Amino acid sequence: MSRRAVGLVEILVAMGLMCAVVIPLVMLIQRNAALGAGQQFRMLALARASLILEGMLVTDHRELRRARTLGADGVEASAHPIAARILAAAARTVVSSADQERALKSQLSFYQERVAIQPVGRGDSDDLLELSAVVLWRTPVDGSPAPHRLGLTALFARPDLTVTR
Amino acid sequence: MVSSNDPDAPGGPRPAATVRGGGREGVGLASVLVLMLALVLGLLGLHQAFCSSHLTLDMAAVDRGRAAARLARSALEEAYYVLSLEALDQGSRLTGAILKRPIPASPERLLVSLDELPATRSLLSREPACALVDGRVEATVEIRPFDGWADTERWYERHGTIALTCAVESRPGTTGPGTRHQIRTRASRAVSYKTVCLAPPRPLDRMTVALANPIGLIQGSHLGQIHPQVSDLNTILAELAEEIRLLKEGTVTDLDDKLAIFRSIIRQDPSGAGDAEAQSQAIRELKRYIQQPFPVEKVEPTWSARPEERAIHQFRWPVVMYSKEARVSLDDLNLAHLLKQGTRDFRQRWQDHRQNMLLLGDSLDATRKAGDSTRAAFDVIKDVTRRVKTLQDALTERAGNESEALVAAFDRALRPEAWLSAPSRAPLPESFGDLAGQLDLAGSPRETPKVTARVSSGRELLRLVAGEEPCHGIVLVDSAEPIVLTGTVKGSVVVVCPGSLTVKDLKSPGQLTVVSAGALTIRGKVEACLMASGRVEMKEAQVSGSLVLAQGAFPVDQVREDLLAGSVTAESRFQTGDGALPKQLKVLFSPVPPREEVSAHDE
Repeated sequence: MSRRAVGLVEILVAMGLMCAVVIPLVMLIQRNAALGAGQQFRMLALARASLILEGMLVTDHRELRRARTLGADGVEASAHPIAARILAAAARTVVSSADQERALKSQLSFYQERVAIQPVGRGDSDDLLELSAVVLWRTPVDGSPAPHRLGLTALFARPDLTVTR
Repeated sequence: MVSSNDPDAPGGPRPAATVRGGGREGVGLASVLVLMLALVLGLLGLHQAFCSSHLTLDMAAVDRGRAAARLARSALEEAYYVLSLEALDQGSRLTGAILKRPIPASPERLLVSLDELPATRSLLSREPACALVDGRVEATVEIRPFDGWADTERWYERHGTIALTCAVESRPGTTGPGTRHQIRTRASRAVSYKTVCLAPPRPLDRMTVALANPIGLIQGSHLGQIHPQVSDLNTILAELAEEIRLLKEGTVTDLDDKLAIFRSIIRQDPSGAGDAEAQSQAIRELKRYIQQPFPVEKVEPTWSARPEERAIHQFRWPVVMYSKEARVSLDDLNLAHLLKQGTRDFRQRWQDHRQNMLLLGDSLDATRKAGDSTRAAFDVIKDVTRRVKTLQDALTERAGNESEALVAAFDRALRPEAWLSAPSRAPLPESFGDLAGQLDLAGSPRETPKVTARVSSGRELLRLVAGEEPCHGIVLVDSAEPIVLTGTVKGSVVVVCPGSLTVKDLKSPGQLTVVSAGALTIRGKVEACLMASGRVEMKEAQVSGSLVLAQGAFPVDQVREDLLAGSVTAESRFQTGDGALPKQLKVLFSPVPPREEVSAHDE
């Protein structure tokens, strides 16, 4: 009967095979899980940036000209009059209970939004504005020192140029 | 008991593998199972790797598509900005295409290259997601005119739509995530445009004051005091001149007769001729006074085509009168005001003159009294003649056939409808005659395609045209309440007000044109071209610009002497210039795009 048992070599070969397959598989799963988590964070960052940019694109051009920022880096969205208003309006739409508010705050604690409004018309005229919304974030498992960055930029021309110039 | 399955037993089954030296040979079941499990896991792993790789690529492609859509939209914005700047330039290719003559049957096309869109180019280089492999960004402009006055002097007034399309294309590349997809994104916007002249039409822009059928200005009770039943100023002036001539001759003859009598008295009794000497002296002084030239010695009551000959006649047909002087005093045009003082005791003075002349020479007192009353009578007739001549000299008259050339310009300037919409190409048939001119000003915007803005209150009007930023265009005041326009109008704007309007203390560094169909009141210093077809009240106001008035401004049955006073000073900057196109012609885009869309195709 003892000759019919699984041999040591057989076990070692099987273990080797399993390791050769399982270890990359686990690594792949881990990588995909990390990628998925990263994509989730990125999707929210994209939504935040789109929210700010689209909000600015439907704002009166005159108001945007008045809210120009200094430098291409822009300012904190919460400190910018237009971006802060857009974010507050969006928060009011999403949040309907205190729990949701806490969850949203917890989720958004990883993010930092910046906006920039720069004149790019001829001769630095503010009749054509470049609007930028940049979202910086870190995930809880991030090891990298630099935060992730996602920026959206769009141009916005003064719609009433011919009737005001 | 010996099992028949024992391989060592005689006659037992042979093992599948060869057994040597008493050990097992070949692969065991566990290894096979593990191998199969590993194979399955490996396949699953490969599948997951493949799927996640595709997911990553697809998400990158989605990002690229979004970036391309943003890029197309940004290119559209910059192309719109470039077109707006071209619209401000009368010599640009856009303006040339819009004003092409005759109106093209098919839409005009223009191409805006990426070189003309530096901000988009910069954006393209800075946005990694927008990195295009063999990409292309291109903007096309299509001009679709709806209407225009093709065969008139206002051929340049048109409206239509500009379709602006920006296409972003990227072919599949070999590097970078998501570049295996071909991306085609297209953003388009339709903008309505109008080309409007924001100034009085030619030739009214060159006239300081222009009057259409000012019957009430000339005719009235004041004329009856001079010559009842005669309302032709030229005839009145001619008759006054003739009357003066006859009076002068008759009076001088009378005075000569009296002088001859006194000379005879003095000759007969030189010692006692003190009184006669004094009377002779008084008569000689009176004679010298009468023989002085009068403002109007002779008037030819005939029609003249020469503009330097001024004449104002009785208006039984259309007439326009105008002045191109640098400064026109409205007091000089207001005949009722002019004659108010002069004609008050016109007849009384002449009656006194005639009565006192009968007593001339009776005594020194009577002679002096006759002299004084004669001077007073001649003074009043000189004054009346001078005032009538002042009015004639102030205006150039074009009547009858001569006025027809100007009727179109007056009609264009004074009718609010003419500022709001283009007239129909063909006149309405007679059966529609009762509907002609019945355009409702507050009607559909389709009926007022030239209007760039509508306001419903005076406050809204002030906020729009006298606000911080200039505003160009034709603004319709769609309100029944009285409107007050004051402040500083920075833009080139035509305010069309069908109702009651007061303009006061108004500055216009741009160009303000006011078209009033209701009662217009002018106060203080006003910089504007004022055009009114309704009643006008202007007291001691100073207008810098021009004043165009229609018959309605001078109702015959109303006392006008106190309603038209002040001055109008011409402003050359308000004139349209000598070029084929008026200086104030503007191509205006509607600030509200009627349609905008972005479409994307990934292949």
